[in-house]
Amino acid sequence: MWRFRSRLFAAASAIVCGCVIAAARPRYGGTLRIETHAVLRTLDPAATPLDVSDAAARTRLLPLVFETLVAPDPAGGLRPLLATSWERDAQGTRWRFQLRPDVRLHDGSRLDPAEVASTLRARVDSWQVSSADEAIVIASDRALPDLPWVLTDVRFAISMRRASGDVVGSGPFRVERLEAGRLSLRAHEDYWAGRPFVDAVQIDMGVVPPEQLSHLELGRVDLVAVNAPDVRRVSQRGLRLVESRPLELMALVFDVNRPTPVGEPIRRALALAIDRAAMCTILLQRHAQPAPALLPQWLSGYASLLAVPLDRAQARTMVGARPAAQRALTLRVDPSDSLAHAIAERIAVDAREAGLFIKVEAPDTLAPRPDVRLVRVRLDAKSPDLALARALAALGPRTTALVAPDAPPEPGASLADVYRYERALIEGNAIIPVVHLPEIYALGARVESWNGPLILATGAWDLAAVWLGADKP
Amino acid sequence: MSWKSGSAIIAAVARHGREALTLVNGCALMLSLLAAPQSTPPPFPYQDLVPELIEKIAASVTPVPLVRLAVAPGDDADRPRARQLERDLSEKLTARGLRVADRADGAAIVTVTCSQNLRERACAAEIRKAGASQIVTATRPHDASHPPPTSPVLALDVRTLFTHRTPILDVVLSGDRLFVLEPTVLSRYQRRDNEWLADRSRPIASLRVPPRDIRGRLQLDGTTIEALLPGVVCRANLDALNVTCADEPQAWPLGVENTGIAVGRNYFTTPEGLAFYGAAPLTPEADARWLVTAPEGRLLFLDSGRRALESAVSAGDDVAAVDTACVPGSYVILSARAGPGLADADALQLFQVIGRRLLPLASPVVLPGPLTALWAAPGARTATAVSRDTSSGRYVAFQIAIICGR
Repeated sequence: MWRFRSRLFAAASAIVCGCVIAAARPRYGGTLRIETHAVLRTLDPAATPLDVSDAAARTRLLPLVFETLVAPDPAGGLRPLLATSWERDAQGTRWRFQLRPDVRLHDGSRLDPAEVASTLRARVDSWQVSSADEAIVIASDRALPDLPWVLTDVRFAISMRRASGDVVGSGPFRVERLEAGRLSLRAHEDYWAGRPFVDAVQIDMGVVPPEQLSHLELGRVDLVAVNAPDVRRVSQRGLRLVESRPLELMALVFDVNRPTPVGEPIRRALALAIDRAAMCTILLQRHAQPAPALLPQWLSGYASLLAVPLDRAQARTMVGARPAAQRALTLRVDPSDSLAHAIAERIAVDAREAGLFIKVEAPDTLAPRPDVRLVRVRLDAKSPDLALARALAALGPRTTALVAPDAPPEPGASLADVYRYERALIEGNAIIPVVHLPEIYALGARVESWNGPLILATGAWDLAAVWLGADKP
Repeated sequence: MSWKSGSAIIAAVARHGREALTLVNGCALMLSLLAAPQSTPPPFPYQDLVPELIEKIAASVTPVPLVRLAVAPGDDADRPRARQLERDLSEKLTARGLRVADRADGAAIVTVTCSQNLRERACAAEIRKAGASQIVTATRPHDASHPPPTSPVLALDVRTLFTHRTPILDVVLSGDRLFVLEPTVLSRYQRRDNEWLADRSRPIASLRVPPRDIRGRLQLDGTTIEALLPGVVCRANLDALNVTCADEPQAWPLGVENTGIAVGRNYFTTPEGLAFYGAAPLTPEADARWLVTAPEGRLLFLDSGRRALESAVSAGDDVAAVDTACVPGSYVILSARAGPGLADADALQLFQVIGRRLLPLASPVVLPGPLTALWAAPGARTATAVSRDTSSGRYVAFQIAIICGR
């Protein structure tokens, strides 16, 4: 009977391990070593990202140091960070955020509501921001129906610049050093949600993905990003994987600004010919979802209404009706993006089934303008209006203005308005969503996480919950 | 000898002149509580949005009185509910005076999805008519004063009832008495001081050669007990336990019409000749009348005419339906191999059946060995399972129920 009970408990433990990586009581200490491809150029949350790489790094790294008033809750809605509660007037023109008491900043000073108000005031000129008691009030001439969602953006993280030039925040880690290619963080001893388990985090930036994986396999690093096609290799090495919900879009974007753009029938034929499900299953190892729209279902709630069925027969008919000269396209991918290249080749195979001949090119020098590009669009785990706005920004205002002449939805727009705009964007097939990808990370053997996942569904890193176990052979 | 661990006390008692037996002293192996059960999905988490959506759809499709309705599930997890939602919407649109048609000719085509994003729960309908498209939505913020329906947590409560050296086919409790059916014996045990004491045993006399994988079933009926074996029925008075047996085929109480177990076999057949090992009657939301385990571990849904509808996505060796007052619905316990590392063991798992889909509600509970019996009376809130403990060689009978937390 005892063996039975042991088995039952073992089974129970295994199940718990499936949800939460918590094999033992967590230990304090050690340095968590991370490598990223993206490079953080500046630590100031208010600064405009210098490039795509900087923007990607800021999204994940700055929240370790600087906190916003509220943050998206992976389960839906918002969760309090520096604000414990919030309320608005009937018109939505005045919001009051109650601040968390006794929050200590990295320099030991107490979070001052007046400083918080001053920080936010500097970020948006049109807001009137004031502090009262332990709260701040944000007022505007225009209604701000979704202001708390707007404030989840890292550019509204609270940071204080001291006379020494240091920028301090309230997050679980403080900046020790930012030097070329490396960010060094130390645990914030007085963090309001409890000191992180690790003493330090060392982030080496600008490391290409194949090198990251090699370093992980050699035990030189604890956490790296991996592409979906590498998942099998990681699993075969016995390394663990964690991933967010889909946070990246791979889409075909036609150059509608060319003197002789590809016509809509050919674009539609290509949209019908791509076997997205097979691509997700085989090439992307089930670590991707077919993309019926720019925003994945979990960010929009309506994506399934925009699904395009796989219909090669119709695609062939449409292609067959076009002159032979229109059946050949050039598809460009970023030469440094091996995953995009693999997806593009798969698209070319699918297109051939429909009678379309796609030449995939990845030039590293100047080349003639292609018919279509395969682009990666990073998405934000935010409300649908803000997530779409981020996608539009990544696609470029010129592209989106050409395919959807109406103005994009304002922050706080209704779901119906967001849907209408997104539908207008994709219905002409000038933009063809292909797949949605999660952020996937491989973990070293000693990385453990206490009481929750290390990578949240929203993609946020909960490094304060990470602890380091003994090195395993 | 006894062990005490946590809240469960397990005692093994062996005395002269008594059958050695094990009695769980009113304590339970509440494993499922330890096993972090998953949340039970509520009946339909967007029900509060449906009336508003119906209003908006009705206003948008007018004056076209004909509607072609389709539901686009948000993801695979939503697929079982799509059929349920489609039926519900269809009824409500009909009640509004619209005609829901299967054909698209002349109809407004309405495609609905109910899902959520980070900001809100949403039901959206795209309406296409006369070449134009329109969207209507009904939404509720996650943090609004309209919280989604609470999700009760369901799990299996597995309690050890009795163990025995020889095979147990079925057990049934009657107050302080426990009746145990073995291949050739019907026994009665009396509870005294938290022990089961052997009280009386009667042989089961039959001229038939029992099958190798013999199965048997007990059912109480007032003052009598009936023991069903392949091709044999035995009846006895509860007090006197004077067993009389007859070689006669009889339907077993499975909740589905059957001709009993064929002589020399281990499976049942329906009147139409469909072979099955176990059956679970289902409620209407399951969109099928029964779920049966067929040979080779296939799971089949049957319609009211006992015709196979489609195979379920899952596989299982045995099945039983259990009821709960906690949340209405169809709940079944399925047995299957426990998986790698537990090659000799079976596991039991609780599922809800919605729209011919099996939704796992709790993690599997691993048994001490292979499952040899799984029975539940139609409409019962408990099931009986018997497993052979591979380490001790004993047979263990469990009483299984659904526990519910809100």
